[in-house]
Amino acid sequence: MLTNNDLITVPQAVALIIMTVLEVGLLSLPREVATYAESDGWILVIIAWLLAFICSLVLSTLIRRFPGETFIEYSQKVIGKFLSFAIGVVLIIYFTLATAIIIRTFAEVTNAFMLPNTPREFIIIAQMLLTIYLIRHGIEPTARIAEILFPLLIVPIFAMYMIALPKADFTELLPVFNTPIKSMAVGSLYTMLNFFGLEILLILGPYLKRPDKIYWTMFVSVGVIALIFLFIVIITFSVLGVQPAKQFIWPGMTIIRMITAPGRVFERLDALAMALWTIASFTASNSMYLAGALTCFHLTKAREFKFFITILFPWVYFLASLPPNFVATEELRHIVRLGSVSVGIAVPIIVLLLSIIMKKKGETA
Amino acid sequence: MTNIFSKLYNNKKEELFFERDMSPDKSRKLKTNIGENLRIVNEYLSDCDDVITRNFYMGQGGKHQMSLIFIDGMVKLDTVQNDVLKPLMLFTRQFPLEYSVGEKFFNMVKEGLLTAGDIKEVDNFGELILGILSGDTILLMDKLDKALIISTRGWEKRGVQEPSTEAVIRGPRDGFTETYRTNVALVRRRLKDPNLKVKTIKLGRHTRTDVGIMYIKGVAKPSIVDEVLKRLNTVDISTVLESGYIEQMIEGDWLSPFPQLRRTERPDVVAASLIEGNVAILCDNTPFALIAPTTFLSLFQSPEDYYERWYIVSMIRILRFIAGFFAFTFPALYIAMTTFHPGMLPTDLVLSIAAAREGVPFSAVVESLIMVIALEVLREAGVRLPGPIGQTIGIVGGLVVGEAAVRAGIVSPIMVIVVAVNAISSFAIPNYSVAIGFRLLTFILMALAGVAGLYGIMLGLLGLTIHLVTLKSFGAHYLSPFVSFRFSESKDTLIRGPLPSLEIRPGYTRPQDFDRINDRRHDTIDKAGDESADQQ
Repeated sequence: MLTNNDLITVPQAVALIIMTVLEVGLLSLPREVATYAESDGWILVIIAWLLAFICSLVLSTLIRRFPGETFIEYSQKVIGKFLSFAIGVVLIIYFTLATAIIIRTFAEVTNAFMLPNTPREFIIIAQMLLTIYLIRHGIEPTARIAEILFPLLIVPIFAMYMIALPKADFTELLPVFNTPIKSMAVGSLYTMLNFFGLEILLILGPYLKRPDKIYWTMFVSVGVIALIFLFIVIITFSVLGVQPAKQFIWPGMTIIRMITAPGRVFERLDALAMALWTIASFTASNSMYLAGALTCFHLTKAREFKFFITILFPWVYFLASLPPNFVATEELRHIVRLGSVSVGIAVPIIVLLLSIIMKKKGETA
Repeated sequence: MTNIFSKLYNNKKEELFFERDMSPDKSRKLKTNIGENLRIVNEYLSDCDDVITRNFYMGQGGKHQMSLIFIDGMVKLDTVQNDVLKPLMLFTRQFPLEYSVGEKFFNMVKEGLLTAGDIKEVDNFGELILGILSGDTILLMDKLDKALIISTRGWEKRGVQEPSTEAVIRGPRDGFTETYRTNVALVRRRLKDPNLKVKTIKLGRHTRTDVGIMYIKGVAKPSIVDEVLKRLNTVDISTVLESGYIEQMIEGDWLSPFPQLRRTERPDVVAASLIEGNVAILCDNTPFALIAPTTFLSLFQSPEDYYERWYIVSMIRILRFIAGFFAFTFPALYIAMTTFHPGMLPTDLVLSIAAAREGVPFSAVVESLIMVIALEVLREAGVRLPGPIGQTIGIVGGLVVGEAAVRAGIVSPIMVIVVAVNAISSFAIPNYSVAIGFRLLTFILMALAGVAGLYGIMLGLLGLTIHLVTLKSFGAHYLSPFVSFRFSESKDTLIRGPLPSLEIRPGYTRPQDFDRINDRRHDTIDKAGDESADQQ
């Protein structure tokens, strides 16, 4: 059923997952963890890491259990045709909504920091056209792009935060374990939502070149993401302080606006940071869009999936221009994230448990 | 009226038919009668005044006719006279009678008489005519339905000179010439390896140009060799005057601004890439060879990179990549910074830019467009004009663009700097085709920057990345080794590691034989050092 050339290698899969997940947390994560746990925010990240790791274990086990089969195919065996179709439709809506939100947020941030006078529609459409141009080339090129852009994104981000390091005051992190258990628990659950994006593996599973290494792939990607999050939270807290970190919408951006490149080559780095943000948002929307188109493809059992990329364009554009303003966008983003709980955690767990109970397995497993 | 039209039409048809019939065909065999054969040859080569036919008689009594046919100016007359005509005319007379004519005589001439080096037997007019046109001499004999092609090629040609487009400070000074055989020999001299294979085919219906592919058996991946041969065989073109024709016919993606074959004038570059598992395509009548598959990185390399020490080379390579980046982004960055993000630049710089731009009536986009186009025109004018006038253009251009335009208030002095950096950067790219591609991209990026500032540039760069990532040259990723990255290959990318550490060949060609260098210095040097120390 699948063409053999269009497979994702292990490093590509790692890069793809990291780039997809990273986009969301990069700017707003410090604010969220500060809101829930004040200076204990970094502990939330670690707990969320463990939770996300468990979630990734579930996904990996599913992929190992049904190698080479699409989610729609094996969920049909486990929960029946009708339910699987319904979940498929939900998945499509979820993935397209996620794409729309990523692109819309990007357009909002760009409007706020870089191009105040450029119409939002222009940015949305330009970004979507770029995405479509890429994913029409196929699955493996999409992963290849993530692999290539990964160092181009990570290295400058580290460099920028490193420049801010002399301003850091690590006593800001100090009252440790000061947060009540309850808000800690709620907070870590919310923090875990920052790992949303892992569920693309549900769709991309059959396209992995080495499904036997899926555990390793997942372990590395979740680990790297968590370390980057931890790094960002610690630097933000110690540079900005916990209280200001709560107040800014994008504390990450605030830090970058504070610093000046050494030697004063650039007086302000926010435009440069926005350029990086373009990369992050681009790769994240790529994989979400791709997952959406692939779900359509699996659901309809069509001959070619590229057709769906074009079909989804107006739909995604409609979703992206749905929220009237920035607040509504953030609310919708929150809903999508909550949706990721059902799609990324609940559905895989149910399918996995049922398949274990019913002793259903893939043919080659 | 219709009559005239039909006449015209018919005429044309006849003419076409006539033309096609006239092209020599391999299926048309030689006759036993020499008069008949000569008539047919003359039919093919009628109105070709440069063809010389020399008739003479042989054997005791001189009864049987022989004919030599060659083209004046394409043969070495020395060889024709001393190694062909002389033995034939002098010694055949002394043959015993039983040798007078026929198969025996033919073999005697072929194997025992002619002192020319390369002799081939031929029995059809296709090869015969092609032999004449290629500069060989044809020997026709009476009563025989075959002829001899005697290799006497030799024409006025340019000697081996220093390549003008790829000059190096350290490295061999010889470059390819316009003669295919000389070029093959230049490569062969560097690779005395029986596995170095040369396959020659003829391309071009009219030009019948020799096109050869060279590869090292056991190193080059057979599928790449097959792919190159396959693509070459699909080329159906009337003329091949330069390897550029072939390049454009066999490249995979002709919409791409980047060349998918590397062209070079240097035999050492060809030899080096053959060892790395590439296939080289050599073409007659041009000093430019093509190398396939090629990667983006290899276009940024110069042969000197391997001759100099690695620190220097690494620094130069990094400089080249910075230059490459500026070569297509600098004017766009200027537009984006001044129009959209003045806050990014240091305040003093913004102020001085603003002060400099005060009298300029145009927006930054128009200003840049004027300057970049002016520069392109100057460059083009400089290339085409003969040397002495070219210098004048340089001076006039420099004055007009640099001084007068600023004084007249059309452009700002900063703009001049921007364009100058852009131009100089593009000249730092070793490969001319890439440099031109980058100049094209400059315009696209300038337009994007004019529309959406830094975001526009990012759009352009991401689009470019997508294009490069999906581009393939003969099955190899254009961006390799960054695509499907392997650490062992990273030593010869942005930097060049020390030569002994480059133990394997690059993987994009997927060579069958990976070993490149075995570092045995430590075995020998250490021992030698110890021994000499002992002796003291």
